[in-house]
Amino acid sequence: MSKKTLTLMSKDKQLFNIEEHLAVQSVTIRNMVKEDGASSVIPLPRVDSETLALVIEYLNRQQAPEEDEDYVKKFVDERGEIPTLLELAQAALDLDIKKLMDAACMKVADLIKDFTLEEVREALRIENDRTPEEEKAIRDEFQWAF
Amino acid sequence: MQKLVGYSGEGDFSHRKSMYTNPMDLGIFSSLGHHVEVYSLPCKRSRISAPFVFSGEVCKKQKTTIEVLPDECLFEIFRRLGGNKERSSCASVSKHWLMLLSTIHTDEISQASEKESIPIEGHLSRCLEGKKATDVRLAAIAVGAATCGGLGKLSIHGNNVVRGVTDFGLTAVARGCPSLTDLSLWNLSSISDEGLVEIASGCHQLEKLDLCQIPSISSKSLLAIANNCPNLSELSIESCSNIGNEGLQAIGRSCHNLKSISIKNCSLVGDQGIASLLSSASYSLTKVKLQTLNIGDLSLAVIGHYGIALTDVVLAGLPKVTEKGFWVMGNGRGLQKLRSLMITSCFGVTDLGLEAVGKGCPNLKQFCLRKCALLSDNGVRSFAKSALSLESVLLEECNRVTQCGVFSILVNCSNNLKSLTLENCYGIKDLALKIPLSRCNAFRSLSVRNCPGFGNNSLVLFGNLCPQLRNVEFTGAHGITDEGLTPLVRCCEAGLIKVNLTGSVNLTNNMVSEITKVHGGTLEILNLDGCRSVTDASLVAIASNCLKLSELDVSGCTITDSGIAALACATQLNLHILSISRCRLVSDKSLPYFAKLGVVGLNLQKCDRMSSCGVGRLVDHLWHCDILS
Repeated sequence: MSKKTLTLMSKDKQLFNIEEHLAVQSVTIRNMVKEDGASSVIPLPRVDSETLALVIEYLNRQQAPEEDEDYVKKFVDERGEIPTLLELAQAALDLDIKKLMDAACMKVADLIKDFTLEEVREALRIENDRTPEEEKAIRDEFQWAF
Repeated sequence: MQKLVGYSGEGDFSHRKSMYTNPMDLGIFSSLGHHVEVYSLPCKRSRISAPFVFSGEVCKKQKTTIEVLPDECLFEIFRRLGGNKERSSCASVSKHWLMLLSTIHTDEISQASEKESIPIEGHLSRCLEGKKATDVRLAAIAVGAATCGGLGKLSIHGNNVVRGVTDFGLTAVARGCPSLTDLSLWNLSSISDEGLVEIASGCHQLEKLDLCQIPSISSKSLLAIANNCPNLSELSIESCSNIGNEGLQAIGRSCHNLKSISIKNCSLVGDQGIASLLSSASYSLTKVKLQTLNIGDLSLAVIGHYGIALTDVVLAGLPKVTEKGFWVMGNGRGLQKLRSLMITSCFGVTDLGLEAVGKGCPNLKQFCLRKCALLSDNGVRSFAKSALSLESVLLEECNRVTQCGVFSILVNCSNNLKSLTLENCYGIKDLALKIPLSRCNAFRSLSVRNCPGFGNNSLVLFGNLCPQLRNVEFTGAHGITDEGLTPLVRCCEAGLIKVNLTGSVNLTNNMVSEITKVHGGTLEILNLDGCRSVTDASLVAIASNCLKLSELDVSGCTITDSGIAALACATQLNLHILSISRCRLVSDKSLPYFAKLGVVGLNLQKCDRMSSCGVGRLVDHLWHCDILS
C-alpha cells in the first residue's frame, strides 16, 4: 500500500508518476485518494507540465524535517522569476501544499514590495481600472505614496 | 475522475469564501473576464466545475501575470506584504487590488512579516459627505489608516446615489480599523445589518455609535454591537424604522458602560424596549433623550424608578404619555441626581404631573418646558415649591401660564434662580400683582421674547425682586414703555452688562439716556434694533456715557450722519461691532467716521443713501474690518 504509485496529468496532457506517500503531502490529492482510492490517472487541468515538474521535484525531496524550512526557501529562491513563482504559488494553492505556497507567496510579496507603483503596473501588465473620482479618493488617502 | 469534477471546493479548500458574498465584489472580479477565458469565472468552485477543454487554444502557454491569478492566491501574497506602507502602495496599483487588500483582516496579516507591530491607537478621524461617501474611499481608508496611526473616528453623512456606501465599505473598515471608537452613519439607504454586524465583530473598541436614517438595519445590528462592543458609552438612533425592542434590550443587557442614549422617531420602539434598556443600564446611564416615540406611561415609570444615575433627561413629542406617566416618574423617587430636564410637546404635563416631577427631582437645576398646553399656574407654583435648587427656567408656548405662575417661580426659588426665559407665552397679561417682597439675589438674566402681554407692571416687579440683574432681553414687547423700564433700570444695583430691546417701538431717547447714565460703566452690549423712536440724541448719550460698550446695534433706528460723528468722536469708546442696517438717513458723509471708529465688524446692509462706490472704497480702506453691505 505504502509504495503505491499515482499518475498525475498536467494541463497539456503529460503524465507524471509519483509515489503515493509523497503525493499525499498535497491535501487535495490526499482527499481524493481517501475518497476513491484514485486508481486512475489524476488530471490537474490548471497546472502546466513545467510547473508540475517543479511541484513533483519538491514533493520528492529527501530532506530531514529540521532542514525542510531552509530547503523550501532555497527551492523557491532558485526560481526567482515572477511568472514562474506565480504559477508555482497557484499550483501549490490548488493542490494545497502549505509550505510551498507560503514560501512562493512570500517570495512574490518580497519582490513586488520593492517596486514602485509604475514598475508594478508595468511588470505585471495591470491596467489602472479606476475612474478619476476614485483616483482622487485614493490619492487623498495615500498622499505620501505619490 | 467523476469525483474530481464533482469536487465542490468546500472544506479546507476555500478558506476565503466570505470574500465573494458581496455583489459589488463579484462585479470587480468579473472585470477580469477579458484576460483569459478559462479563468474568467470568479471563484474556485466555478473554475473546477467548468468543462475541461483540452483544445490547442487553451493549452497555449499563457504568460502568467498577477491579474489572472485567482484572488485566493493574490490574497495569500498580499497577506505576506511587509509593513503598512507596502500594503498601501499595492492598494494604489488598481481598484481590484485595493478592494482585495481591504478584505484582509488585521489579524490575518502574516505575523512573520509584521515588523512594526506597534498597537494601533486610533488617532485619525475621517468625515465623508455626499459624493465623497463611496466604498472605494472607505477601502482606501481601511488600508491606509494603519500607516497614519489608526482610525479613531469615522462619520459618513449623506447619500451618494450613484455609488453609495454599501456593506462592502463597512466590512473593509471593520477589517482594517480595529481601533475605531466613534462611528456616525447618517442617511445611508444601501447598507444593511450585514455591514454593521461586520463592524461589531471587527471594532471592539467602539464607544460612540450614531445611526440616523438607515432604514434597512434592524435589531440584529444592535444585538451584534451589544455582544461585541462592551465599551459602548453613547448610542443615538434616529429614524431607523426597523430597529425594535429586542435591539435595545440586548444593549441594556450587555453594554455596562452605557452613559448616554438618544432615540428619536423609531416606530418599532415601544415601552418594552425602553423599559428593559433603562432598568438594565440603571447604574451607568446619565443621559436619556426620547423623542417622537410611541412609548407610554411605563417608560416614564421606569425612568422615575431606575434613573438613579441620570443627570439629563429630554422628553419630546410623546403623545401617548399621560398625566399618570409624569406622576409615576416623579413618585418613583429615583431621579435624585437629575440636574437638567427638558420637556416638549407632552400632553401628560398637567398640574398634577408637574407637581410630582418637582417633588421627585430635588436637585433639578435646569428646566425647560415647551408647548405643554394643559399646564396652568397651579402646576408651576407647586413645582416651584419643591424644586428649590432651580437655577434656570425656560417656558415656551405654555399659554395657560400667567405671570402669577412666573412670579411664583421667582418667589419660591429665590435663593438659587439665575435665569428666566419666557418665549411665545400668550397667557401672560400685564396685571399689577401684590407679591411678597423677597429678593432674588442670585438672579442675573431675564429674557422675554415675543410675549405680547408682558408690560410695565411686570417690569416694575422684576425691578423690585432682582437687584442683581445683569442681562435683560425684551424682544417684541410692544407693551413696554419708559414708564416701566425706568424703575427697572434704576433698581439694578449691580449694573447691566447686556441689554437687548429689539423691536421696542415705544422706547425713547430719554430711556436710552437713562440706561447709559446709570449703567454706562458696565454696559458691554446694547441692541436697539428696530427701536424707531431712537435718534441721534441716543447716540450722543451713548458716546458720552458708555465706557465699556463693545457691541452696538442701532439697525432701523432714526439716526443720521451726525449721530455717527458723535460716536466717532467719543475717545473713551472702544466699539468692536456696529450695526446700522436699514438706517436710511445715513449717507456717504459717515464714511470717514467709520474709519475713525476702529471697529472690526460693521453692518451697512440696506443703507440706501450710501453709494456702492463709497462702501467699496471703505471696504478697501478698512481691510481688517468685516463689512456687511
